[in-house]
Amino acid sequence: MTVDDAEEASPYQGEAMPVAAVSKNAFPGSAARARPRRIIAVGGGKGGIGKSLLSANLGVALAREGARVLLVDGDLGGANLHTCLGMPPPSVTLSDFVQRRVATLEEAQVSSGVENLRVIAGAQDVLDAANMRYPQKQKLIRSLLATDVDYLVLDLGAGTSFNTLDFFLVADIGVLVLLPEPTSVENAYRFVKAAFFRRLLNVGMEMGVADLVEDALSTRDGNSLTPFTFISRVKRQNPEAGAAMERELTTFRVQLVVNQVRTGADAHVAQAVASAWKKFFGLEMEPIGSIPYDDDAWRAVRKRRPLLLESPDSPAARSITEVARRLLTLPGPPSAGP
Amino acid sequence: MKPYQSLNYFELLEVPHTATTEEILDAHRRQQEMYAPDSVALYVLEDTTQVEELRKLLTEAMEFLSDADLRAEYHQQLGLPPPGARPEAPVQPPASRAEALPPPRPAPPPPAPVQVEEAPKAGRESSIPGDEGVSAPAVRVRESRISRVEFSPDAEFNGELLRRIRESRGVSLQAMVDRTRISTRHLESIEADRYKLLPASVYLRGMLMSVARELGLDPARVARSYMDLAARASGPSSP
Ligand SMILES: Nc1ncnc2c1ncn2[C@@H]1O[C@H](COP(=O)(O)OP(=O)(O)O)[C@@H](O)[C@H]1O
Ligand SMILES: [Mg+2]
Repeated sequence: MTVDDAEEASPYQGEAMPVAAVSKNAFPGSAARARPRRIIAVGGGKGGIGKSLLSANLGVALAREGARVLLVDGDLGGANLHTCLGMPPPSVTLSDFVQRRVATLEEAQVSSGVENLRVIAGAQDVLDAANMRYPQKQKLIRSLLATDVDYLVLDLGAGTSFNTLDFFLVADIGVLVLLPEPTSVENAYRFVKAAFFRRLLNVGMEMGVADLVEDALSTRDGNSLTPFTFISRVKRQNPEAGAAMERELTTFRVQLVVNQVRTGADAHVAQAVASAWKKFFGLEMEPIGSIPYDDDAWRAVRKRRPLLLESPDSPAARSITEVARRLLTLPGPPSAGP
Repeated sequence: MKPYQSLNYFELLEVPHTATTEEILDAHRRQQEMYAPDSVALYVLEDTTQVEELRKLLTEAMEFLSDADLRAEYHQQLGLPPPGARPEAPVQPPASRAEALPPPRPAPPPPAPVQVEEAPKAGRESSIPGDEGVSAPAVRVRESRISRVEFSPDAEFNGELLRRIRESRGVSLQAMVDRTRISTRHLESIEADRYKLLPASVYLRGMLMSVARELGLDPARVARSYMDLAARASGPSSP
């Protein structure tokens, strides 16, 4: 089934149509086509938690390890990745591509000033990209998936809008940022859960039981459903669909970064979240780093310089470099060639 | 992918089955910290009684796995190779210790399917309950049910009472063996109040708690009550 077929056949026009199912097969029989070796998406469900700081500096770190990196500002409501990189307001942005003012994604790229690191800045006009329709999103995702780089790093916005969730789901590596405080943990869980249920909606559609997913999520207790309790419920109604969804749960894996760590106890939050979310919800979280709260971090932002270049020896910069190294060692998607 | 109620003791503590006793005690400490009531990681849990339940299971896991005998039995149940590094000798004098050990016996029959535990390696297989949440997990916590055997709120739980409650629940001795993974010999000794034949108190406590849990009784209370009786019977100077 091609993407275009999906658009026509689907009752889910516009926003509601999840993109991950079709994007898996976006290029039937085109394994040889160029694609990023890895797509990394950085999300967290909340604003101001360091997603852009981490994305920008991961980009710098990966580029310095010799990888060709494209950083994309996917914050459709508050793009500021360029600021974290110390770039002037961009002359061309993602919305120029979405609105077809430029023909290719390549034309929307600008140089970051760091070797090997190119950037697609975020839409400066909030309305432009936030209102992206389904066909535009499909085109964008297809183009991103066809970019010839080693690493594509997607900096996501706050919240759990479908666009944001879909960017998270197309990534090979989903990185979740959270701060060791209740509000952030709460938003992070909501984000991961929303992403997972969106993925289940794909499975539900493939198996013709999308209504099961939608019903469950729209019932009054939908809010308190965990992946475990939800899948149990589906199993009772449709064992086959339940089993398929359980397989999704076992392969759904999120990399976890805790930012702005201040105390010894904070340093253990990543492990505790990973342990608890697995035991209680079935969500597999992999702690890949803790970044200390560091005055150098906000100083660099204020000076409009990437932290890794401004204060490479600061504790925060070192931790981000470690996270980048961890990401370099993660296994890639099975489809990615050698 | 398994909810915590169906995890085996190793999975609960997040240790490999080759972990030493020290590593198990360490893991238990770490887990207790992670699941402390004020942990920020638990903020999103709506049902905090689950955390309480998990903490109890973690302690039970630690108690079981840090005991040489119970651990060896447990490895056998899971179909694992015997524990390599045997934990240190128990606190009890060797003589009575030997007495307490069950004689060698043929390998137990394979547990009933619902009781079969997956080895940690197979941990990703399904055990999300599809119905009513009953999947006979490795470790289970039962809700208290109203007993058909009468006993007063301050009843002393001796072996006799435990046996009567078990029978009133329609649970055979063999079923209890299967569920608790305690040997028949030990269970019989517990129910017959043969205190002299019982293992050292650290092991006994874990067994009593498992039995109590199976019977829907308060594990801590049953263990305390039974062990008080046992201590009184064997006199203050006796181990
Ligand atoms: N580890 C840190 N130490 C100190 N300040 C930080 C740290 N991480 C983020 N910040 C501050 O938080 C601000 C918001 O970060 P940002 O990356 O823009 O968040 P988001 O993209 O999640 O909205 C940054 O400008 C910086 O001043
Ligand atoms: Mg941002």
